[in-house]
Amino acid sequence: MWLPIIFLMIGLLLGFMTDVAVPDAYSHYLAVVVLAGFDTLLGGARAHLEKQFSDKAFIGGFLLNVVFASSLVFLGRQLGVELYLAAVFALGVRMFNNLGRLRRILIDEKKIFQ
Amino acid sequence: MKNKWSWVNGIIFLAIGFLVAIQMDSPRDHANEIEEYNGKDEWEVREGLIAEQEIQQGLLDSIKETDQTLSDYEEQGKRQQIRTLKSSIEKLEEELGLSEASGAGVTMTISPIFFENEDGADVYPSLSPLMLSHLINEMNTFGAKDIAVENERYTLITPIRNVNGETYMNNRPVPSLPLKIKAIAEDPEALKSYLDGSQIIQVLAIEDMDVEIQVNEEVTLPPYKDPLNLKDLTESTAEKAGES
Repeated sequence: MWLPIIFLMIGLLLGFMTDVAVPDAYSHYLAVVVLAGFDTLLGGARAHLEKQFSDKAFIGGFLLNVVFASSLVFLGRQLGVELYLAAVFALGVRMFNNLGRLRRILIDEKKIFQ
Repeated sequence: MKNKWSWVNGIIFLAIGFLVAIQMDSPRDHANEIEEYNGKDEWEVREGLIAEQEIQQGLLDSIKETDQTLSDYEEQGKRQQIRTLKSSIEKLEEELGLSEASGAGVTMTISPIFFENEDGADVYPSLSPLMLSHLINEMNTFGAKDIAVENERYTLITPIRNVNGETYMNNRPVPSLPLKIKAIAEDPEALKSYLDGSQIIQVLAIEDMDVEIQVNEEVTLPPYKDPLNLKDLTESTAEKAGES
C-alpha cells in the first residue's frame, strides 16, 4: 500500500531536483502523458479498492494510454488540428469516472465519512 | 514473479511522479517573460531593470505631486482652493500645449534644394504628412518636450493629414518650404546631435530638402488655439498603471 506512494514521492523529488525543463514544442506531449499518468493512478487506486488490481492491466493500461495519447498529439500536429484535446477530453472523463467510483466505494464501504 | 511485477509497478509510479514534477517545473505562464530575457546578457537585463526603476520613480513622483495637490485642497481656505485649482489648470494647459511655452530648444529650418528637371522647370519639393509625422516622432523620441511647426503647436491630438495633396496640421495647411520647426528640450545639444545623425534627415535630403538645425537658448512656441474637441474621448477605466 505504501510502496507506490513512496515511489511516487521519490519520482516527484527526482523531478524537482533534476530541474529538467521540457521545451515548449513538447509541452502538449508532456501534458497528455501527465494526464495519462493521473488517469492510471486513479484507475489503479480504484482497482485496488475493488480488489481487481492486476499488474498487467495497470502497466499495460499506462503504456498504451501514453503511447496512444502521444500519437494523437503527433497526428494532430501533422494534420494541423488540435487533436490532443481529444486525448485530454477522454482522459479527463475517465479520471472523473474513476474518481466517482472511488468515492462510491469509499462511502459504501464506510471507510470514511464516519 | 509477483515480486518482480511490483517493482515494475514501482517504476511506473516513479515515472509518473517524475513527469508530474517536470510538468510543474516547466514554466508556463511566465514562458514569455523568461524568453524575453533568455537572449539577453546581464547588461541588457540590468538596463531593463534601470528603465523599469525609472518608470517606477516617475510614477512615485507623480503620486507625490498629486498627493500634495490634494492636501493643498484639503488644508486651504476657499480662496486658496480656487488659486490651487487655477494653478492646476495652468499646469495642465501647459502640458497640453494650450499656453505659450518657452525655454531652451532647437530651431530646425527645412529649406528646398532647387534643381531643374529636363524641361527646364523648377521642381519644388514639399513636406508630405508622412515625413512630417515621422520627423515629429523622431523629435519626440530624441527628447523634444514641445514642438511647433511654424505657428502650429503640436499637441497630443494634433492631426497631420493630406488634404488635396497639401499637408494640413491642426486642420490648417502647413506653409510651403522653407519652414521652421521649433522644439523645446531639456538638452537641446543632445537633441540637435541626435537629429543630425537621424535617418529622417537623409530621407528629407533624398526628397530635395535641406535641414539646418540650430540650438537656441530661448525658443517660444505658440499655444494651440482651437477648442479642444474631446467628444470622442471617454474616461479610462483601465486599472493598469502606465497605460495610455
